[in-house]
Amino acid sequence: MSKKRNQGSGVPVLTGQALVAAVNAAEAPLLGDGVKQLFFKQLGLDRLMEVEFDLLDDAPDASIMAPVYPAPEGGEA
Amino acid sequence: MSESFRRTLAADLHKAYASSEVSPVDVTRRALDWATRCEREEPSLDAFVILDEDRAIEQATASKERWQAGKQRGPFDGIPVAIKDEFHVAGYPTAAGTAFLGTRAQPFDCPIVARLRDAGAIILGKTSMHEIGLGGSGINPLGLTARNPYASEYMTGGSSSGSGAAVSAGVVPVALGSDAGGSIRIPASFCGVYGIKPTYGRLPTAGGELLSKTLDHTGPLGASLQELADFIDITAGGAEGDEASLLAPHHKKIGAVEATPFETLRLAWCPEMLSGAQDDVIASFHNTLDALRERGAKVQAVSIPYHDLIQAVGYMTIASEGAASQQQRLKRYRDKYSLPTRLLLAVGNRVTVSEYMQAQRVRSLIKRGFLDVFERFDAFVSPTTGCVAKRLTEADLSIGAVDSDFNAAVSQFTFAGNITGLPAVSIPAGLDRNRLPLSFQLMGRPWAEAEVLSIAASVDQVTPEMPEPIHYQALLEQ
Repeated sequence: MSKKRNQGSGVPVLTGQALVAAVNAAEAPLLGDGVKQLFFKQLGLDRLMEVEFDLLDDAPDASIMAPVYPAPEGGEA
Repeated sequence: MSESFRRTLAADLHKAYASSEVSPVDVTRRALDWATRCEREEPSLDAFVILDEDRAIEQATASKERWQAGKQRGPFDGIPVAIKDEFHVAGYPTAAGTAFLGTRAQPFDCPIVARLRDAGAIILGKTSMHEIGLGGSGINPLGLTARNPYASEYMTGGSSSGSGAAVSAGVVPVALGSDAGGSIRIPASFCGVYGIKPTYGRLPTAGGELLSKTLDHTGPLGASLQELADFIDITAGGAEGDEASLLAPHHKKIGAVEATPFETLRLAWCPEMLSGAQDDVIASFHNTLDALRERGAKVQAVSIPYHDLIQAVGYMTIASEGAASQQQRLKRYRDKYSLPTRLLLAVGNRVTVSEYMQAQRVRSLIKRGFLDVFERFDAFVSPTTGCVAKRLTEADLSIGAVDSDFNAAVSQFTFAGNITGLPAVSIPAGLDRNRLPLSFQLMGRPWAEAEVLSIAASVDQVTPEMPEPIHYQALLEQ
């Protein structure tokens, strides 16, 4: 994540005809993946795929579970 | 405009009801009148999509009779509340900020609204929101875009935008919101009020049009921390249709919120996470930390593993789960969504299973990191948002816009609470150089809403007082 991203990363605000064009491209079968990759890069999502779990000693299991926590002792909280 | 401003609280209304100074009917009429005048102003506050005078007065009359008989039901009896138009309320449609949902009235209240109604709260109306809740600005080019009571040319933040505006303007002392990436805390922050996203599962999410199964939380925005506590006490507990709420421990009532002694506070913050936030946001945060240290609180910098991936995990999860939630509707109503929503859903539709799963694995590492912090500290603190409210533009209101820098700033600190499921509260912290509200966020241990609110009450003593919003009217004559 670039250091001053929030105060102006150079990523333009999409509106008007540029927004229309972006939506059309994103929904098109062949162009859509390119739009996704652009978004991933702009928002830093591409870096998620760089985390190497094999290098972690105690890597967590992959889980699609929501963050449900057990009740504390006594069952009331 | 007075700098020593104090909002009308639910407790103030109860005191007035108990002394027969006013009745719930008087207050409800005043709230309806003020809400209506706000909608007629130029520009309109646009906080409410539905205001129902007849039904509100009917509920207020029943409450008045209970008060007269000494049979009032608790802290919200006779208190006007507003409901985000994402939740089902019997007799009203649920449009969730879209131009195509909400074609018929719902037959039942969702569990949270039913519990509020049982507690004697007066359902004043339904509030505007960001389309399907997928955004933190509150800008809705196809519906109502609520205006900020502190500066009507500025956004409220979202997605619970109308709820933020309604509480800030004084129409209601408490409103229902939902939060998948900050949607309670962002409008609370931008509108200068209080808001809490409780632990995942504490309040039921069933009975509405929520967006993201593993990130969604429900909760209140309020005039003070006590409204937040009372709201949780009234609405907590399992409900059919929400598995997480059924797995939650039995809720121990919070009751009166009392400040934790400063000298016992152990607060953690992560310096790296502040990177990129606006200067006034950072300065305000450090001023509050300094004030806490001066009063004896232990405030220590910590490192959060993968803190730089928190937003990426949040984006990946909400885009993917949000797109999944809209699959069937996209087939029928694609052209009826706004362009910004269509773009985000199209990107979310292309997230692969392996990308989603990788994000969940990183999510579990981040969650573990926060739990480790809470072995040594009582709360993790940050600003609520990395920026203040932004001025609305003509393009925002007509076609909409996708502003990646703003999206990053507004959710800079809020996504941590959603991906971990940990409770997080936002409190007001004065104004920036342009007189726009600033805020302070506290996260706590799972199920520790009482503790988080108690610590927040301490912090609330050292943050700058909020002045009266430009658009504000007290529910009681002062």
